[in-house]
Amino acid sequence: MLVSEDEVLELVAFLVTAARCLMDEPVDYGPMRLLSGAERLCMQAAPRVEDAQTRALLEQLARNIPPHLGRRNGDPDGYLRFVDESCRMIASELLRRAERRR
Amino acid sequence: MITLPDCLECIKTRRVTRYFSDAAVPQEVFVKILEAGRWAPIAGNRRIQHFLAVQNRETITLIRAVSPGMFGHPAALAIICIDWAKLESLGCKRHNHGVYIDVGTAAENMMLAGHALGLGTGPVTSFSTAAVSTILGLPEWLTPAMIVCIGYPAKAQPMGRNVPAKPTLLKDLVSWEQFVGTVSKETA
Repeated sequence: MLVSEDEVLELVAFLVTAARCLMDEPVDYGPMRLLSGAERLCMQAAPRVEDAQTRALLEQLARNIPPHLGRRNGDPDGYLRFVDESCRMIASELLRRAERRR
Repeated sequence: MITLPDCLECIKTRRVTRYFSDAAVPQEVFVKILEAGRWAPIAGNRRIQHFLAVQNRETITLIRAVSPGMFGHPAALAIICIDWAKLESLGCKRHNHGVYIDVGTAAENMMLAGHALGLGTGPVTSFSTAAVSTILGLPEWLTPAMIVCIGYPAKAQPMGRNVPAKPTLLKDLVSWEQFVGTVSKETA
């Protein structure tokens, strides 16, 4: 198991309480919370991921998400580019792993 | 006696801290911060708040789990709650905006005091009131309105400062004597 039972519950708590908070909050908080959730999962899971390339990707995301969240107002275009680039990297990793399974 | 430059310097140099070191906040320092909240300007001096002071690490971890707006691990929390029973006993309605303004003045006093005492502080309103109330065993008539995170700032602040591309200047905030203009800049 990549994350412990406590960690699973903590992440579920984050996601569900974030959903509730977002019902009253500015729309740009939505992407921020999703990225924060992804960062938390990456931080918890990365040390236990066996595949070095996948682990490196999760570590990179965990490292890079917070500074980009901090710059979302000052550099919205850079924030968008970061999220797009993260999507590309994740898709490439999904592909690599899929090809390995074939 | 505090001097005007000191007071303004404290206001201008305070920043929100999101990430904290593991160092504990000494009890006497925490009390000074809570005391600063007590001295905040409150409408009608009605005191409809209750401060919950939390230092237990496990409790803070649980509250953080249900507070998506809490990024780091603060050493202490000052949770500003609204006492609805007291408010209603005074004849105030629940939709009275002043209730929340009073929460803000207390929080600002606490954060300025924390800054003056060499601590980092950060306000959090993104939390589940239902979940925080459950964790703290709050009665129905007492609801948490704002969490002030307190601790010594971590050396690294991974999020940095959320600085807008265009700073808000005094002229953007203030109209002198009469409002000029009819449409919000955001919707123009």
